[in-house]
Amino acid sequence: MSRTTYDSFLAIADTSRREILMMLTKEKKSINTIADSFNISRPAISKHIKVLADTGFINIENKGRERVCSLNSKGFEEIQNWVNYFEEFWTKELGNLEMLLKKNEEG
Amino acid sequence: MKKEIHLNWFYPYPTETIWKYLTDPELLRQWSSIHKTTPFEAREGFEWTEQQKPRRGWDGIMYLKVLEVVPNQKLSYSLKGGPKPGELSLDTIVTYELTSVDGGTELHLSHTGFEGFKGAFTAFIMEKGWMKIFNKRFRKFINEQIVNV
Repeated sequence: MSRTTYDSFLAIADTSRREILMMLTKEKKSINTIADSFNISRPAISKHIKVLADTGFINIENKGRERVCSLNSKGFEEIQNWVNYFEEFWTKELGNLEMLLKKNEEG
Repeated sequence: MKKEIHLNWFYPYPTETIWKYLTDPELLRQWSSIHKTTPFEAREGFEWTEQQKPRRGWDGIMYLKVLEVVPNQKLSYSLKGGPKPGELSLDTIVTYELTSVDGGTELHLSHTGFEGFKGAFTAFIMEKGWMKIFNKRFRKFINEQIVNV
């Protein structure tokens, strides 16, 4: 039903998730290999991997019986999207102010 | 990667007039989408919230708090938000600065300190041993994404 939505910042705010991203900078790794390097439960690792995949930081592909993770730049782009969103937002605000000034002060 | 927003806007009116439009609750309500529901008070510590259209990773609620008021010169407030109440991953500062120029006022708007972003990224990069294990490709990628502003 209600699914927790993670944004890019929450996604990489977690130490384990950053460690997973770090591991993947060297090479692609299967979920099993990743899980073996951590002292936390496999379901917990699976959840972290799902968060990273949902927020676009990693790709998961099926190779035979293995599920293999690799880095993806989309998560980083999402952060850029926020800055772009606000830039557009403020430009609109300042434009609205200009229109109101024109209307009120030059009437 | 661009981490700050800076906008300059010229208005052909005196700074006092622009200041009035930045701080008067009735005037603000008429032009600004972050002042639709709560009458603004231009004093340090004044807090309000405003609902915007939600987007991915954001419930659309802006949590705002006035940080600094210098009449006719400067107004700044914090702007926070996140996917749900209590999870404020976005933690930023918005500042309006007015400068009297020939024929009117220059307004400089900055939106900076994207701490949710920057804090997480800094932690991400500064992680122990991080640089050692960086391969060339990813280092280049990070440079493109973060270092270039």
